[in-house]
Amino acid sequence: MKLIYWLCSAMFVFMLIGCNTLTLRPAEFSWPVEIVLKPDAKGNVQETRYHISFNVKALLFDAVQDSINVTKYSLRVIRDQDGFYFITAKGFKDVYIFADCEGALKLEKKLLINEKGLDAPAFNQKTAFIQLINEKNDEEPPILLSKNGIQGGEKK
Amino acid sequence: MKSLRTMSSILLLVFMASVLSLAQKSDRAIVDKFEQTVKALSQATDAAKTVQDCADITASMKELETEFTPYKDLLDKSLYPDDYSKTITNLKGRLLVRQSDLGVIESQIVRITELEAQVKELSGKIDSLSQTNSQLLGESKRLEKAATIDKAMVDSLNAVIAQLRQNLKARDQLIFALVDSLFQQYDKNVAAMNDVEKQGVVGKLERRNVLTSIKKSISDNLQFLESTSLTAKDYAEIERQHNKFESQWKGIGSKLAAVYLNSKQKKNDVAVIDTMLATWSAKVNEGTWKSLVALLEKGGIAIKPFANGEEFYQNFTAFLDEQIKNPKDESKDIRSKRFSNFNTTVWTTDLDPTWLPVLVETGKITADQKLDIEKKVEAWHSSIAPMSWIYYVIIALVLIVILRAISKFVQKKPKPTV
Repeated sequence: MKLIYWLCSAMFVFMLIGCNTLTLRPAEFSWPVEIVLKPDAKGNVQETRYHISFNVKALLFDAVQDSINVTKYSLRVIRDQDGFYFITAKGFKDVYIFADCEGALKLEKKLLINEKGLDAPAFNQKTAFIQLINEKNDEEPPILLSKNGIQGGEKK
Repeated sequence: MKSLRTMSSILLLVFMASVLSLAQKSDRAIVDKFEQTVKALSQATDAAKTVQDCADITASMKELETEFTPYKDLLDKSLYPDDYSKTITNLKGRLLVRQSDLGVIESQIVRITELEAQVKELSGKIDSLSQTNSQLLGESKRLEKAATIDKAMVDSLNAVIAQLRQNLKARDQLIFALVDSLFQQYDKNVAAMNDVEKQGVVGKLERRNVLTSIKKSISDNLQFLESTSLTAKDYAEIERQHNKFESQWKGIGSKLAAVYLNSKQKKNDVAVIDTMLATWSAKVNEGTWKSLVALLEKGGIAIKPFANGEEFYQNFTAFLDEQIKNPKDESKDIRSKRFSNFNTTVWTTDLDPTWLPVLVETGKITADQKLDIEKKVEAWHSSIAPMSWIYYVIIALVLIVILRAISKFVQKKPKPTV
């Protein structure tokens, strides 16, 4: 009886260990530079180096209420060190932050940057942050972003 | 022609890359420009047909490295599958293979690349001097106005003018050195160049704004001439500088006209330079004689008006002859004072050391005419000069020697025995 008790206890401990999620740390997901993606007619974008592809029709509809003429947009995409995707484009008011989940990108946060729409946005990787600049205007200060929101710079 | 187009696009890309440093930097834009430039250089390497093409590509590769080395870390992370260093090494290797296929000797490339680097350096110096000269011209105009009210400004004005004169001269020299370096890269006469090589020269001349720089240089020199505060020495130096510029232009003007044979616009530019140079020449000439007249008047010398070297020689020597012969029978005192005034304010200060050599150098008078003038001035001096004190000293010395000799002779003479 005592032996059965000890065997059951041991099995329970092993089960507990087995159920605990295996976590690998540290992990770094950042891309050194942003990628610029042009959707095809179906709204699909594809990047060969990082082997990523997704559909942006819903995003374009949300951002500019246009899911028809999708090929005219150039999306700027960058991934931060935690693995979140930052996406924006010329004419967008916001920067969209996505996380990947089962076969999809799920919106984590939408950061309002410019009520009138961005002029020439570009992302730079800045270690803990993502820097957003306006390539056509030197006088506009860069904005630092993270998945938690705007970390520095100003809203326009 | 294809390789020329490729070279132009490379240069455009390199230029755009340098513009990047002025605007807010997007890392993607830097990486894209680097990749595009590398691609264009690879294509240019494959299309290279001459040693000149290879040299141009080598120079462009150096520019590429200079431009993008500061972004090495970014490029190392971003380029895929190669990093920055490997991309550059591959590019250089590709060019070496092409050179070897074409049978190009490395020393030729090195020489041409050095000349190209020299051209680039000179071009930078010219731009910087042009900027300084424009500021100095503005400053001299401002000071000229101020100097009429405030005499304290005169010294500042003179300093500015001296600096400006130096700078104009330096820039003129740089422009011609630049053009020389450009043509030297081809190791042959313009007449022997094929159309592609001529296009290559044209491209380089355009890139360095050679014709514009020459026009700007003449224009600045003309503005400098209009300055009211120029001294006789300034004019002498301007005359010398103009003459040098003109002879150098004669050397390259025909070459430029030959390479611009098919460009009406540029041929016109060359003709405009000829016209500008003629205007400069006329103004220098006018200024030179006016300045000489003013110098002579300052020394109290009134001679018949002159407007060229021959007239100056004839009228000035006529004046000297008159002084030597003294037909009006003027007193020695008056003649002495006149010579002394001429000697101290004109002859020893400006005319003999500065003006006469310049007039000979620029071909306005001959060396024989200069010699004749010098002899006549000396003759004028002799005609009025009292016996020099040196003669008195010599006579005194001779007398002393004679007297001592006599006294010794007398002392040595044996006394008569009593």
